[in-house]
Amino acid sequence: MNIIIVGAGEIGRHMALSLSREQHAIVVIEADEKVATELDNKIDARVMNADGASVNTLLEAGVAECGLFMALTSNNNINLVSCSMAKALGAAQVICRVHPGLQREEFLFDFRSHFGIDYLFSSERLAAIELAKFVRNPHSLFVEEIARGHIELQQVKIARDSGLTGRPLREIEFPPRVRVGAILRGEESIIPGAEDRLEPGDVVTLFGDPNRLHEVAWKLQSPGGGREPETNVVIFGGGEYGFSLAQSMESWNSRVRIFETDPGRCEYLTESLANATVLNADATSLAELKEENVGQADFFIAVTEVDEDNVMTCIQAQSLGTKNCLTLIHRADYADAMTRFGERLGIRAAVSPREATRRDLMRFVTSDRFHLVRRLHAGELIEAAVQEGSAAAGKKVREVKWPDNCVLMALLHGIRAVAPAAEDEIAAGDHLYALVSPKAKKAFLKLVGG
Amino acid sequence: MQAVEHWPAIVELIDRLIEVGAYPAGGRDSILEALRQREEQRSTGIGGGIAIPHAFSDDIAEVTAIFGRSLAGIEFGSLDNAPVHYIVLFLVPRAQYTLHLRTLAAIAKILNSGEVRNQLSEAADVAEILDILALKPARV
Repeated sequence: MNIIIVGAGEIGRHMALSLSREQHAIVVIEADEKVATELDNKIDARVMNADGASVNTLLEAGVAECGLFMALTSNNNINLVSCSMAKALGAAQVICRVHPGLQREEFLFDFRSHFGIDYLFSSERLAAIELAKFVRNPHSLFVEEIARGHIELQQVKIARDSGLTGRPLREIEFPPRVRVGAILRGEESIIPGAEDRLEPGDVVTLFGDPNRLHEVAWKLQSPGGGREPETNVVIFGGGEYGFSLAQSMESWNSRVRIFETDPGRCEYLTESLANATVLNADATSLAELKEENVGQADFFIAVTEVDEDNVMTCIQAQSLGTKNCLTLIHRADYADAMTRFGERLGIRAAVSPREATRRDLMRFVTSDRFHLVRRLHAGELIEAAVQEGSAAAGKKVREVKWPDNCVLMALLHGIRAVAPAAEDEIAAGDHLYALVSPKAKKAFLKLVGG
Repeated sequence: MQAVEHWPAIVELIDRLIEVGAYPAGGRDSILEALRQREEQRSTGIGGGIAIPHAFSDDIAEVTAIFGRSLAGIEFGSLDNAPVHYIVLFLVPRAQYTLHLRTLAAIAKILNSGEVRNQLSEAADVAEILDILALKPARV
């Protein structure tokens, strides 16, 4: 794939280095000479020290033959202008990074249509969503979002007394469009039918609407299936990351407190958030953490711009007794170290905005036929576009003869997605996400391919 | 609200507008189609549990809006991936683009207040909700 990346900062550089390890022709455009030279010495790609919002630069970079154009600088204006020109000059897909403030104004103005952008995102918001997944599902073995975040997959271990074991799946009242995709029982992987039963200790892959899925996951994991207790969350840093995180927690059964040192920002947060207590205090102070009983919290999440403060406050919170500590890590070197040693320090997860961005954008870097989302014990979760004239296009889900060992997990139509039901119609251009065994994969791709 | 899903929620609000005589029954299909087109472009869930579906209409002379509350929450594909609890659906006479933008911004300004959202979630009935919204005039 011909890929052009504008901006070799934290996000652009990570994306470029990651893609350069695959079979792609990459051009990176960076305005800062030092940054461009540094990357040029490290990457197997063409690096241009030039202005990404210049027509000449874009033409020279090969924009007309570009399959994927990504403007990833930290400047909204440069990104919007270069994306708009790239689309007009022939780039097939155009992706634009923006500040979350601009994204919040999207409902007032259609930036995407106006500038010809196919996907507009903010790294801050992606990182916040990643962090929120841990808080919402503290006991799940993994949580993965698919279909632009509308459908969630979770792996949970069934508790001994969950109340849902021993009965055929057809007798369990799952919420609408929430299903069991796979069961791992010891070494055996099962793609279940209606007569299969859940057993204590099973590792079950569930999928569906995130909010409904959450209820089921809790029931399956909790002994006795009792009511889920309120989650006590402390956030350190009320910047864009902290705000986005607190906002996404607002609808959940949680008590959120935010430590923020800037009084003006505290005022804004207090006005904007409904269910959060904003503290004008510094979480790097042990005394402040103790005063607020942070040791009693279920989660301490450090999301300031300073990595060192984030890690150190997490260690402090952990030593005070906080059950789960999460941190944001900006610098690439630190992120690698945290991935390897974080757990030893009592930090459950370190989320980096650049990695959250890379994971989100990789779905645009696909082979012609499909995109591998994740490998699971029961097979591969793949995404494929339904081609015009294919066997599946224009039919209802139940009208297509899907192969054995193939579970449809999401049907993405435009910007909306559902966990597919029998009566849903599949249109050309839709994207289907399916869990498939190696044999079923071939048959599935044949059904959706042209 | 009774609806638990995105599109049925919008249909429920339009049907309610028709039921109370605020929108002509004959325009139901065309306004739903206009709303559907808007929803397919991008989500009207703006975060913080708020959604503002909207469309232009030939069948009204002035801005018409309806408020819906879902305590359980409805998946709207919002920016923050969180469920929507407060929906303000509004319709604007066609060709009043500026008014449309001003209305959108004003509604967002009211609902972006955490205090207002708290009050709305605790309101016991329609009259109380109307009182809360009436006390928060917003101009942009």
